[in-house]
Amino acid sequence: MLRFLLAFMLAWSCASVANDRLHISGYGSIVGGKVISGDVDPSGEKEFQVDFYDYAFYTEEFDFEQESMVAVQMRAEVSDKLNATIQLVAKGADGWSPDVDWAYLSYQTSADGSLMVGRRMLPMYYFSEYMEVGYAYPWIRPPANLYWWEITQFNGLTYLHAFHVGDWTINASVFGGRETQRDIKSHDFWRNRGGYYFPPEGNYLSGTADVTWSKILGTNIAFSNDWIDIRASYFSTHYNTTSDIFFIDEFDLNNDGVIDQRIERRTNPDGTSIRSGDWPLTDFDLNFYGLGGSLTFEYVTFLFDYNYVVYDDGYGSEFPTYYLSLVYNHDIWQPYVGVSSAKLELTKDWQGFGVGEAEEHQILTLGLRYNLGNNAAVKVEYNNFSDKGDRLPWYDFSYHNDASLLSIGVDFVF
Amino acid sequence: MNHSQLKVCLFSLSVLSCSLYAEVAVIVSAANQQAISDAEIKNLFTGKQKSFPDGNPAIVLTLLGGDPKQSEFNQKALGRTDAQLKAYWSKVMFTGKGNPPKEVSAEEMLKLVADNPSTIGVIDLSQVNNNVRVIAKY
Repeated sequence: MLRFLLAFMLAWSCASVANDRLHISGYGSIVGGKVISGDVDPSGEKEFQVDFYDYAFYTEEFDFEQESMVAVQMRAEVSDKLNATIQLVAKGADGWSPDVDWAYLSYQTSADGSLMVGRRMLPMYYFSEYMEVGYAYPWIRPPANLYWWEITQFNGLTYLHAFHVGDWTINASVFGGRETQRDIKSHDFWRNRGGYYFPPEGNYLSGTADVTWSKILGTNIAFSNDWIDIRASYFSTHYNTTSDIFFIDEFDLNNDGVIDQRIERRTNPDGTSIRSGDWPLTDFDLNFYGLGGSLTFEYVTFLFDYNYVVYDDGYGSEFPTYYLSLVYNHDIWQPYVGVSSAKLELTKDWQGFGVGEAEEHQILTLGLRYNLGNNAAVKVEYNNFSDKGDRLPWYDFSYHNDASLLSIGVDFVF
Repeated sequence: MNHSQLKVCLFSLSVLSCSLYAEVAVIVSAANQQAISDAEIKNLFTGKQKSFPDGNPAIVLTLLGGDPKQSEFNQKALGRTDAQLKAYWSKVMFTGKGNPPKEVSAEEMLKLVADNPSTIGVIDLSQVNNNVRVIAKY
């Protein structure tokens, strides 16, 4: 409802301004890929996960739907200081149903300050805010083992301020808000891969779950000059996930010790669906720390991103992750290499499970971007995913095994 | 030839090539007499800075996409290929952090810059006239 209202408000403000103050632009990607080698996963197939937000993954069948998408951005200059922006995104992985990814009002508070109210991408990783704008980065996708969150946007406030010190520009922002994603595929996705983490009470009804990040509060600070761009980010939030459940009530009508009737109970007395309860694996605080950037030399760009995520969950999960990439900038050709690594460490003993290292995976990337004019780029990319967690004394939490993926795509802007 | 000799040689070659092909000019209105540094030009043309050193808001104009003079400016002044710059602006535009400069033809550029002291633009040096002031050449 909130999203609908936002969309309506923005559409209305777009419609009410003169044509020369309405700007329409957009971006999109057509990407296809297939797993070319690897080991069978717990799901029974050789898989390569590429997008955890939409639970997109490739198998050995060539597939064009998983990552193909198109987005239209409409920006209306309501006044000299007030802009309304809306971004509609349709993705193959989501059945091409258009979604309001962004919808916000931005108000220029001073020459260097602006306040944004509404729905925006959550600025987590270095590439988070434009992870879907394939044209804006060299690769087909940011490293899938880092950018694996179900929540990538939030509804709230952002204040952004720019400072100029000599040749340097410093952009500082603070943001706060919340986000709920309903009916996401995580429930069945993890159940089918042996990673069940919901509380045991009740029978699970739906194949989907809801995830809420509440009390999101964070800050970003970026330093840049003409060849360096470094950005530090931090935020905290409260994570909660639930799913619909039902109970079977048993009745022994004549007290003979034999159950005479079983009735399925799916709703609470007030008619609402019964939700799974909270426990320390589904309800906890999350802290995110990140440092990323790019260094642009005459022919080469070096990109890096280091992040540390801490869950205050039953396992005391900690996720150190990093990404390094090198891009050669010829006018038209941009070959690139990259390596990304993600690890999970358990720091608390959950129900006698023990502590220690639980999961580690690495993705090696080799690719080539070919710029077609000024509006499109063709990319060919090879990724090698290696599961490094399957060794003693590690707990093997890896739901995916080694796999290699070949993908080809076209990214465009208009 | 040792390393430093080579450097000197490369440096003089680049100076020579710059002077031979110094054909892109950054222009402001003749009425705009303030000094603007190379770093400020870079910041203005990448949207990092939105006003002139004197504090007045700046309207940045570029030549139409694909214009060889614009590409030359992008490469020499901003150190970016056209594709790199377009990728940069896609990031800025689709994250709500700003908008690329308005693109105009060479004729419009001369007229708009001459008429409006808030503008700054790029033009082929040979097309410069008395109504505009050249603040940098690349």
